Amino acid sequence: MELHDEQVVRREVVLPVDPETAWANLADAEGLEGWLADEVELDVRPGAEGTARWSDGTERHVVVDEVEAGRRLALCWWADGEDATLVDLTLDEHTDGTRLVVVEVPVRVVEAVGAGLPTGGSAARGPQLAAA
Amino acid sequence: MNARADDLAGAVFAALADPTRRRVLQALAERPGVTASTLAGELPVSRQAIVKHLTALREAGLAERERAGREAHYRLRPAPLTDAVAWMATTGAQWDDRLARLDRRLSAESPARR
Repeated sequence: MELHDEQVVRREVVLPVDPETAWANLADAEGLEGWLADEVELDVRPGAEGTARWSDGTERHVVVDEVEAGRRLALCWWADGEDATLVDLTLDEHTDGTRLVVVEVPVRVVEAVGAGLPTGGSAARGPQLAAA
Repeated sequence: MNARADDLAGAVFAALADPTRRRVLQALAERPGVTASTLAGELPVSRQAIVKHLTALREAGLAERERAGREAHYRLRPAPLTDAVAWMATTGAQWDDRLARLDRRLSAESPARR
C-alpha cells in the first residue's frame, strides 16, 4: 500500500536563497522560531524532544525524527490529547533558489500503510513515536 | 480522551489507506444497505475479507451496520469524512501561513535575488 495524495498535506515554496542559507532556518531553534512557530524550544538532533508554541496559545510537543544536515528535517508533533502527525521538511536546489517541500501526515496513516513519507524518509516508527 | 477532530481524521485516513476498503466505501455510498455477501460477489476478495474491511470502516465511524434477519446491511456515515477534510484544510492553511512567513523573512534578507 502507498500513501495517497488525499491523505497527506503537501506544500512547497521556492525560497530566494541558496540551500545553505535556507538550511539555517531549519538547523536550530533560532532558525525555526518565527516561521514554524512563534516560540521553539528544541535541539535539532534525532531523538531530541522540545516544544513549539504559537501566539494564539496553542502548543505542541515536538520530537526530532531525522536530520540530514543541509537537506532534510523530519519531526513528529502533537498537542496534548491529540493524534501525532509527522512533518517532513526537505530542501532541494532550484534554479530560482531553494525549494522547500513540506509533507504532514497523521502517524496513524503512516502506520496503516506501513510506509515512509513520500519524500523518501523512513520517518515512521521509532520508539519515541510509539510512545506518542 | 475525547474523540477529537484530529484523532478522527487520523482514523479516517488510516481506514482509507487500503484500496479495497475505498472500493467498499464507494459501494456503501452508491448503494445504502448493501450486504457483505453482495460486496463479496462484486469485489475480488473473500466475504471474510469484506467483513474485515467493513469492521475497519465501522471502527473509523465511516459505516454503520443494521441487522435484518440473518443479513447485516451496511450504510455510509459521511460525517468523519468531513472531519478529515477539515483537518486537511486547516493543516494546509497553517503551512501556507508558515511558508509565507519564511519566504518573507528570506526575501527581506536577500532582496537582490528577487
